[in-house]
Formats: sequence, structure tokens, C-alpha cells
Amino acid sequence: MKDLTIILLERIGLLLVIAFVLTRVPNFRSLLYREYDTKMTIIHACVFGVFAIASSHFGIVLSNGEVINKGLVWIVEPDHMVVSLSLIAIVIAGLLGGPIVGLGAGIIAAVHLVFLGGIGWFANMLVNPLTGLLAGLTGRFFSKARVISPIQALFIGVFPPILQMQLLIVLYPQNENVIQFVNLTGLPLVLSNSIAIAVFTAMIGIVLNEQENEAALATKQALTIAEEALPFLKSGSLSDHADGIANLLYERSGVAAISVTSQDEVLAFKGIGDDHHQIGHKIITPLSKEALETKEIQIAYSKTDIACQNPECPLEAAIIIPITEANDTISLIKFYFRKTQHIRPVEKVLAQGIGDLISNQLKAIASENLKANIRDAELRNLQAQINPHFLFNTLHLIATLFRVDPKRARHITIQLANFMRFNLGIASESLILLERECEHVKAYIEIIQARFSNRLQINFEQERTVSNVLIPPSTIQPLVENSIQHGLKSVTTNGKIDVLIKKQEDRIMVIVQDNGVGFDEKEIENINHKRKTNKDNGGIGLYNVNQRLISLLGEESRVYVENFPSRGSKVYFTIPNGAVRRNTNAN
Amino acid sequence: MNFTYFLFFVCIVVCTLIITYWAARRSKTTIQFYTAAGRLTGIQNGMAIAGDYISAASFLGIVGAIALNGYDGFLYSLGFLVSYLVVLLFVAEPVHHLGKYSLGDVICARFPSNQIRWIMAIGSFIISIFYMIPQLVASGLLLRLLLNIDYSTSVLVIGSLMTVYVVFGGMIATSWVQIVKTILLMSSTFLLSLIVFSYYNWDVYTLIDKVKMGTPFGDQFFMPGHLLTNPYEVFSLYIALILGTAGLPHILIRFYTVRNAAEVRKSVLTASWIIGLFYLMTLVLGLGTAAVIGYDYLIVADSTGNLAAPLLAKALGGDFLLAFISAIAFTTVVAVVAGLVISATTAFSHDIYHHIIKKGNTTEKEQLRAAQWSAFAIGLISTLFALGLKNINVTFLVSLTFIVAASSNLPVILFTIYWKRFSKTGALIGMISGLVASLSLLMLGPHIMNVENGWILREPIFNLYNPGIIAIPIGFLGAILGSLFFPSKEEIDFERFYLKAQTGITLRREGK
Repeated sequence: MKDLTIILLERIGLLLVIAFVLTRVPNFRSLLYREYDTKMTIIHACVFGVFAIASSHFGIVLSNGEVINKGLVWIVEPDHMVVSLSLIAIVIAGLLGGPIVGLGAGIIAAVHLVFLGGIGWFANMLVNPLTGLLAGLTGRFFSKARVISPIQALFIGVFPPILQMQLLIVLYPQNENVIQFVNLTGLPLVLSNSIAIAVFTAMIGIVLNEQENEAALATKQALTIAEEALPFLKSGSLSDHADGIANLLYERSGVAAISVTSQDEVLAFKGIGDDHHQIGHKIITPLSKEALETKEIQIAYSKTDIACQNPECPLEAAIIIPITEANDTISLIKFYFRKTQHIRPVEKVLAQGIGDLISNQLKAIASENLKANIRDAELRNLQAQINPHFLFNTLHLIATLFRVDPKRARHITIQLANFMRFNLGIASESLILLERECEHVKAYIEIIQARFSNRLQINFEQERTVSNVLIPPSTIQPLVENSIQHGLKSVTTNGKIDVLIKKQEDRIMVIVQDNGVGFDEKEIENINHKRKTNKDNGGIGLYNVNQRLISLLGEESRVYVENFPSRGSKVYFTIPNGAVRRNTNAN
Repeated sequence: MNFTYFLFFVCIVVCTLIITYWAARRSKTTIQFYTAAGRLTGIQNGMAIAGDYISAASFLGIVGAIALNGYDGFLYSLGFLVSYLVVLLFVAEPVHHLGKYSLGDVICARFPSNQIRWIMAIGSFIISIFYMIPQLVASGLLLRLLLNIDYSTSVLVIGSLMTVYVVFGGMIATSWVQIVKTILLMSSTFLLSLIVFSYYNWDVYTLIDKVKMGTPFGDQFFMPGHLLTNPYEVFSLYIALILGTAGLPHILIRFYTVRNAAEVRKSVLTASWIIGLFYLMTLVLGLGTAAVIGYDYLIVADSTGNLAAPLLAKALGGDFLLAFISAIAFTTVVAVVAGLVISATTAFSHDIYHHIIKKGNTTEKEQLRAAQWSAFAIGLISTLFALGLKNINVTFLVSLTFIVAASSNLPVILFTIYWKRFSKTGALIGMISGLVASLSLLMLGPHIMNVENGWILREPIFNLYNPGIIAIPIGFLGAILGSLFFPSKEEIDFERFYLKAQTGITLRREGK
């Protein structure tokens, strides 16, 4: 029994050598990569069937418990018995290709075994398709992975010979010869088959892993490149930074040359052949035009495809990658190669990946810009809102004043006009000079002052040194309004509001304080901790101001609120000193 | 033990350990440990249930029983199959909907109470342990017969294997070991039955003639009355078998391992099919044994008939087939005991440790730790017991577990799910009376009190080997009377509960 095991293992060793060589042949390897359809299923079944036939020939012939063949199995006498190794190939077929492939390969092997003959030919024939089918089903049952692990295969490999032995006993009952054969070959077959199947599975697993690793590398590279290209893409259009991108791709991808083109001309060229591939050349090749139209990657496999006018041009092949933005192909990136063979699947994957990633990033940037624009429009819309009550009250005031003090009435009318003009104007810009904003506030203060002259005193102080400071329009006025409407609501006399603009280190501080009722503790908590304030408590003005300051000048310009210990409250914020324009999206 | 046996044996051990290793990487949370995260399909779970159910005792024992006793042996096996009707129709889906990890969860879904949980846990624990110890003892004896290794070694091997599966692989490893076992067992019995038929050239009449020649009963072999003579005993046995299955915790917790009710139904159906087909094939094997081996030879080899299947395999296919069948028997043993370890573990670590001792305040990690330690402890203790009980007949413990399950667990489960007026006190009284009745009747019965070889050498006070006929009604009566005398004080929204039990939908009513 031991000798038999060793003989079987030797034979299987030979088979494994052949299989190993086959997995190194590129054409054969490509069989493993293919997706499964009807055609591939048939091809696979045939390939494994042929392999199973070969394995049968690598088997041994027994006669009265003795191995009688030295070489391969060719002729089997009717009283001899073949120990075929075909089950190994069949199990692999089933595990790798599923039940149908297993069954197909099994049938091919079975037909061959019938022609070989010998004792037990019927059981040997039957076991092959059955094993293929069962191995396929078992593989599916245990694991969803493409190739099951070698250890699982080791286990599965134990059972085909057992099945074979049992079939022999079923089909040749009360036959001493068969029982003797089973006792003799059962164990060696179980051992050798399971080991062989495990080794095979491991081998195929390695081949598939290699492919996956290559793809993974290419993906990683594409991601790195796309990430590094981000700064170029973010600021301005692709055409502004064609040079930068070409350089980056040339350094990272290691191809012979890179060119970046717009829809009709070359914007940048980097690498071999840059002496005659000049910037500004028109795009002429049909392939490039096709890429522009179809938005799909095109591959130029010959010099005629590239159509370089210079006969000495060392570039022979190219991958042309279209870059799309908003459904239009706006640009092409071309990878040039010196030899057609240099284009491997990896390069194609890489090119595809880069194209997709850059296009996606452009899309993302575009949508980001769009979002910012919408937000801007919304903000301006808010700013443009004027309280109609204010307008009516002021008109009423003016009407009254005309009788008492026509000069004052004229002055107030002009202030109202200024105020209104400003309000109309603010829709056009997201940031204005602080001076303008101050005029606006002053106009407002004068109007209010005229209305409530007996009730409150508004004081405006500005340090002269500040200049060229930008502020979102209509930021201070709502705070003053807030003070009047809420802080001093119940104050009938001696109301006092101070608007102070001071320089504080490198920032400008704007303070609006009053001696009114002050804020709720809860309200302060809400505003200072970024929560939305309760809108019906008059917080809407404050809330809008805060939102605008944060979105236009950043988190550090947020509004703070404090209550004075005695009476009244203080609202303040800071804005950058100098022409710092961040996050404006003004264009 | 020759090399072929050893190799198959090693192959099975290695395979199950691979499964455990694979499962261990997926048993990182309690839900994975206790229920395989509900990721099994209905068919896989059905195979696992069948794996839980077909013990080595029924594989080898039933074949032997049929070979020795003919029709009665087959009738005995039918009870196992019918019991699945009760499981399928009344219990399976509600258990899936109501519980999370253990059987205690089901009752506590209606009566959240620590007392109930205690009793449920103790009941489950007793059933699982009492079921496990005879299995271990029997398998120790069996392996000694089959593989010729001594009793202690085989018990130690099986005990440590089952502990390893459960501690490291939890429910995932246990389930897959059972699935593999079911596939192997089914395919090998199928092939062995084919071999039996082919041995007689596919001629059933020849087979039957040979059977008649092989047994001392002759024509009477196919008639009842050789094994089961006392009608009360038979009825009692059947009622315990049929009702007991629906209360066995290791079967019921398997319904947590699937995703939804459809899969639950599919798993019960698959399990019933597998078990049905299996017992049909044991019939063929039993007849084959009677025909090929013959009564006299079988009795000489082992008076219990347990060696019927292995002897048949050897006669038909030589050493190779015998080795294979022995390996299958071994797998059967380890799979069944692993299922029992996990059910005992759940009862202890989930119900007692997590809910009662720690009041539900444990982290995921602590729960998993606790489950693994309790699995280890349970494995160790049962192995030690099995080692100590070598020379004592403990097979009656198996019938005890069925009676306890039928008289203590089942009434409470059924009433909880279906009876509106059932109360918490009723549940407690039902469980305790069922438990006490079955334990005491067994103590007073001829298993323990026996003039010839009992633990207490005197005439049995109670004369039935299977006290199910008395104990089960006591359990049901206890639950009913308890509920009628001590009705629930607090109002329980039974419709809502019933809806959840039957459909898994939790209804949110106003004000709830």
C-alpha cells in the first residue's frame, strides 16, 4: 500500500510539472482570467477534459494487485485494472468552473476511459462526470470565492476516490477482485488525490493573485496621480495647468511621453519626441477625434495611428484618454509608448483609472462651485430683504416732520434714499468696504434717531486708522435693529446703543452694545455654541448675520454675545484687517 | 487500529479543526458566537438541525434495532420524524421571532422576570448536560469497539474536540461541523444502501428472503411485537419523543441562526426530509445487516446491535469501507455533542451570567469571554463525568431529557405563545412541576430502582421505563392550574405579543 502511494505521488508529480508549465504560458493563463459565458464554459470543459485524459494516461495498471506498467498507460487488457488520475483534473474543473464545466470535463474523461477498458471500467466511467458535478456544487456550497482555499480543497479531494470505491462496490457486487482492489488502492488514491488537488488549487490561486496584485498596483498608482493632480484641477481650468499635469503624469507613470491637449490643439508635451511634438499643433489623428466624440479610451497600436509627421519619431503606440467635464470631452491625455508591446493590461487599467478619476474630480469641483454659487445667491437674497414696517414707519415720520421741521425732513429723506440704495446694491457683491457699511449704518441710525429721539441715544464710534477692510454688506445694521427691537423693546427712556469699530491687533472688532434687557442665558448659550438660535425670539437677524460672517469670512469671524453684569448686552465679532478675501467665490 | 482507520480519523479531525479555525475568525461578536449572526440559509440550517438530531446512537442504534427486532425497530425511528411536525407547526417561527440567543429569551419576551429565566436556564442546562453525558459515554464505548482505542482516550479526544469547536468557533463552527456531518452521513448511508441492493442484484425479494433466513423471527420479523410489548410503555415513549423534540433547547436555538421566518420553515422542512430519508435508509441498512450478517453473528459481536452498520460495511466493502463508516460515526458523535455544548453554554452565559448575575450590564467583549469560558467549563465537566461514568448504564438519561423537555419546557413555550390567560406564576409552576415530576418518576422507575442491576436495589415504585405519560400531563396541568389560580396582575397586551410571535412585527400602539 505504501509503495502504491509513492508510485501514485510520483505520477502526480509529473502531472503537476506539466500543469505548472502550462500556468506559465501566457495564452493558457489568459483562460483563467476570462469571464464565464457559454463559449468559455465549453472551452474550459474541453481543456480540463483533455487534461483529464492525459491524467488517465499517467495512471497505473494493476493486475492481481501488482503494478505492471513502467511507463504511461496505453493498452489495458480486459483482466487488468486502470488506476486513473483523471479525478484530479475533474475536481479542479468543478471547483474552478462550476458544476457544468465539471460535468463536461467529466463526460470527456469518461468517454476516454470507456475506450481504455479494463475491469471496473463502468464505475470508472460513471465516477468522472458525477465527481465533476458534485465538486462544482460543493465548491459553490462552501465558498463564494473564485478559487477555494487549498486546505478546503484538500478536504474535498478526499471524497472523489471514496465515491469511486463505493461505486465499484455498488456496480460489481460480491466480487472478491473488486473488494481486494478497493482495499489496496482506496487509501493511496485518497491520499494522493487530495494532496494533488490541494497543490493544484494553490497553484491556480497564485496565478490569479498575481493578476490581482498587478491590477491593485495600477489602481493605487492611478489614485496617487489623481490625488496629486487635484491642486491643478481645483484652481482654474485644465488648460491652464496642462504643463503641470503633463509633468506629473510623466514622472509618475513612467511612460515614454505624455501629451495633454484641448479639444483641438496640443497644450503640453513632455518626454521623448518633444523636439518635434510642439505645443500648439492641431489634433489631426482620427483616433483622437474618435476619443473626443465617443468619450472612450482609444489605443493607437502603430505609427500610422499616431500619424506623426516626423518619420524619425520614436513613438509607436499610444493610449488616448478623454477627460470629460459636464458631459463634454474637454481634453485628451495621451500616453505614448515606444513599442506596441509596452501596452499591457496594467497600462490600460491605469489609463482608464486616471481618466475616470480626473473626470470625476472635475465633476466634483464643478458641483462644489455650483453649490457655492447657489449659497451666495441665497445669502444675497436674504440681504436684499427690507423690512416693510421700517419703510412705512420712516415715511410716516417724514410726513410728520415736514410740518414741524422741513429741513430735518429733507435730511431724513436723503438718508432713507441712501439706505434704500444701499439695500438694493448689496445684492451685487458679497463683500464691501467697511466704509460703505458704516455709511449704511449711519443712515439707519439717523433715521431711527429721528424716530425715537426722546427714547434712545445711538452712538457711533469708528477708529480712523482702519481702511481697506471688507465686510459682508448689511452686517452691522441688523445688530442695531436687533438692539432696538428686542433689547430696548420695553425701555421707554434713556435707551442707549453704542456701535464701536475698533482695531484689535490684526483684526477689526465690531461691537454693538445696549443697556436694554439683555439676552436670555439660554439664547447666549445657543449663539455661542454654534446652535441655531430660536427664531421666534427675534434671533433671526442675529442668526443671519452670524451665518454670513461664518460662510464669507470663516469661523473666526463668528458673532459672540455677552450680557453686562448690571444691565444690557454686547454683541461683537471681528473681521480681518486688510484685503483678506477668503472663500469669496465672487467670480 | 490499522493505518486506513487512522488516516480517515485524522482527516475528519483536521477538517473540523479547519472549519473551527475559519469560524473563529468570524466569531468576534456575541451574535456571531451564539447564532452565527443569523447568516445560515434555511437549507444549511436544516442540515445542521438534522446533524444535531441524528446522534451516533440513532445512526448505529437504529440500524441495530431494525436488524435485531425488525418492524419494531423501524417503528421506534418513526417517532423521531413525526416530532418535527410539532416543531414546524407550533414552535419554530414564534421562537425565531421572540428570542434572541436562548430559550429563556422566548418566555421572557412575555414575562420579563429573573425567576423565569433561572428556571428556563436550569431546564435547558439539565437537558443539554444530561443529553451530552450519555452521548459521550456511548461514543467512548463505540470508538473502543470501532477503532480499538481505549475508553478514556476516546472520551478525551471527543471531549476536547467538542470543547475546541465551541470555545473558538461558537455557533458558526458547530453549525458547519454539523452540516459537514449531515452531508457525509447522508451520502455514505445512501451509498451503503445502494451497495446492499446491488449485493442482491437489485432484487428486493431476494433481500427479503435472505432477511427471513437471517433472523430467528422468520416471517414474524416484519410484524410488530418484538421490542415494544407494553402498550403504555410504547405510548409513553412516543409522546415523550414527539412532544420532547419541540422543547429541546439545542434544536430550538438553531432557529436563531437564520434570517427570517421563511428560512425557519425551510430549515424545518429540510431537516424533516433529511431525517425521514435517513431513517428510510437505516431501514435498508437494518435489513441488509439481518440478511448479510445474520442475527446470531450480530448478537455475538455486540449485544446492543450497535455494530450492525460497521459490520455490514466490512462484509460488503472490506476494510476501506469500514474505515470510512467508522469515520462517519465519529463525525456524528462530535457534531452532536458540540451542538449540546453550545446550547448549555447559551443557557449559562447568556441567561444566568449576562441577564441574572450582571443584570444585562456587560460589554460585548465580556459576554463573549464569558461564553467562551463557560463553554470550556461545560466541555471539561462533561468530559470528566463521562470518564467517571464508564461502567454505569446512563442511557436512561437520554429518555429523561426528552421527558423533561416535553413536560417542563414545551407546556410553557406553547402557553406563552398561544394562551392569552397564561400567567407568570403559571409558567413557573408549570416548569417546576414538569421538572420535578419527570425527575422523581424516573428515580422511582425501573431505570434506577431495579432488583437486578439498578442503582437502588429494590422493586420499582413506579413501573414504567418511560414516565412521559404521567409527567407530561403534570407539566401541562401545573401550568394551567397555576395560571387559573394566580392570574396575571398587570395587563399584558396579548394581541401585540401574539402578532410579534407569529410575524415578527412589533406593533406600536398609542400610549405604549
